[in-house]
Amino acid sequence: MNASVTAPPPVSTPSDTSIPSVLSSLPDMPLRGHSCPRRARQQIDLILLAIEALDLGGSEAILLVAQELDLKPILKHRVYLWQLRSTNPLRRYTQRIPLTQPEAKAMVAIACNLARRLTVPIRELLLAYQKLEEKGLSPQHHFRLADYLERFRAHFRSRMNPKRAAVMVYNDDDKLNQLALGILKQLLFCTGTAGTQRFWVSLFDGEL
Amino acid sequence: MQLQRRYNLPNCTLLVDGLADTTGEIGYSQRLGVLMNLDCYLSGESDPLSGGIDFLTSLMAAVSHYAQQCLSGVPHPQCQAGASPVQIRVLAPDQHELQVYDIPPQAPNPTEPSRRITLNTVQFFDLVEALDQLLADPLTLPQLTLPLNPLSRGDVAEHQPLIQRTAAPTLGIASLATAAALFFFAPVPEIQRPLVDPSLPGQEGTSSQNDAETAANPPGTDAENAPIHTRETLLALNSKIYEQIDVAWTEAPTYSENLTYRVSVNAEGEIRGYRPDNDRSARYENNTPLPDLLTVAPEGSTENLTDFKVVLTPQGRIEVNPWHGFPDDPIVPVSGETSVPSPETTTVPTVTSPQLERGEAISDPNVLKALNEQLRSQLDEQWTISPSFDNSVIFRFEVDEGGRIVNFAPASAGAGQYLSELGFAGLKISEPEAASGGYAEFRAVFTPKGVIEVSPWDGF
Repeated sequence: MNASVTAPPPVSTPSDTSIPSVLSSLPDMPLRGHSCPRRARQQIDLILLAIEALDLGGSEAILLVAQELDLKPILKHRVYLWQLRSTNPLRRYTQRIPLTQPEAKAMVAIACNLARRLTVPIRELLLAYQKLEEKGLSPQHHFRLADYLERFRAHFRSRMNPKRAAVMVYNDDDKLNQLALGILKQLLFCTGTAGTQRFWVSLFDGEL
Repeated sequence: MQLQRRYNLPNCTLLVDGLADTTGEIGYSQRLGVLMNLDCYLSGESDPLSGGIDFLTSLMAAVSHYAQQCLSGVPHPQCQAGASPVQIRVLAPDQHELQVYDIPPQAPNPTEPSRRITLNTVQFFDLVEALDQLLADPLTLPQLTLPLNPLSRGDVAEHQPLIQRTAAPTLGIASLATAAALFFFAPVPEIQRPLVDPSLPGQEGTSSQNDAETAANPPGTDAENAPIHTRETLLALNSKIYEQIDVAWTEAPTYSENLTYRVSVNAEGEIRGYRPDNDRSARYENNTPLPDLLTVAPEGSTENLTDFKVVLTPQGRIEVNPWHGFPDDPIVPVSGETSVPSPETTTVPTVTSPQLERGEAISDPNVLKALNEQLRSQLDEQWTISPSFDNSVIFRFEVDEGGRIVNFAPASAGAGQYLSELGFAGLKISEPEAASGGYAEFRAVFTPKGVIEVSPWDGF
């Protein structure tokens, strides 16, 4: 990979007219406010969290893909991306900034791009889970699945605010495992040909 | 010319037979424009699902909606549209049933599907992907498009089962009836009179609240646990609530009038419950940060909750006040430069803490000057956050002869909400020594530029 990550973040952003081509296939949603709805902000962050749990270099890969897809004008730099992810209301340090549609689209494009690269492990883990279910075994019996679940739980617990009622629902390992598996299934749908559009549109179900 | 296309996935193969579209531009002779037959082979099934263009479009619509339902978790009623020959339903979290009808089922006379195929999530995804690849292929049936649209709010509400829509009000009425029946047998509670003169204005709210909570306690439990708040504790809770909402409020308001909620918090200021004050507030509840801020009490614990009135304005302003008001307002307004209060009235009368025996007010200008400087530097040290206010914020401080802060109170409108930002609340000594030596009162003005101006309340 020849992409360089040393370039300093641009201080002034280029004009918004240059919308990266990957985002042109995602329709603008007629939102009432400036910011994307709560469920969208939460879902994008959790999908990225699952990618980080699947892939050890996940967080670096997110930044690299942002560069490859020419999304730097929107996502600016590492800290800004972190701030955008922290618009997830479940976060410990949730940010009081809006998540605009171009920003949300950029994160959706990154998530689906990474999901596509992770197609093999995603399918493998889901099939493994299915087999364990049929035999009545717990996920702990499959090494890679147990590993994914453990890393997802650790990421979730370290980043989400345990005092929020929406986080408290996941107060034991089993419930967090179910959340992690649910997101893994969603990731599978993101890997498809129309995955990016499907994921983007699904964020607004029942919100418009 | 006859053409055939094949879309191959591990668990699903689509075979498309059709005719070349020769009416278009030159060079498109390879474009399959008319569908003759579609065969859809699914793993585990020996016979394919077959049909023409109507079958293909029904299959695509049902599969696409069901895929969106898997992604968002919001049920898409279109997966089981009555008139469609293809329907998909959930059997288990990981099992999906594809039903194919020869005659689409109509409401009055339901028919049995001619095929039922159970798919797991990965198998179902392969069907989605095969159909999406067909759609994305510019050389196969280019007239077909994937109409992906999010469900509207109306769709979701309309298709919520009646039982789900009526559950909340029914439960509410039932619990009210149960509570009423139970309270009918409860003894009439003894009323604890507040320690201070009840004729003081503003006390009524607190005392009636205590009465209400005494009544709510089951017989036998001690009503002393009911929260009795001093002005300071109320202020501290007030600013905690303000701060939480302020931090969590990221969504632009979509409403055009003020929303009012009754918010219940525990002694730490954690929000344990809230109730919209009117229909409008209930309707826009999800546009507010309150659902996110809700916390759950640990199991088995009993907490005393205090109610606050939270008003959210369409301009993004937050107003927080105790539901029953502050116990009393002895604070001299800012404009009252000339009204010099007597020392008796300046100490904050509270419901619980007995009045401290006060020493003499310090009047020695040199001592006052030293205390003045000491207070200023103390406040300066604690104020580390850049100011979020546009107008000066004024507090009144009472310090003992050692310069320690014995008491403070906001002295300008809305000052209380900046308490946490200014950071000095922790400086207040918790156990002021009774009958200590002298004391002095100061006015501290915090300006939006970050300057603190301190001066004796009554001048040097």
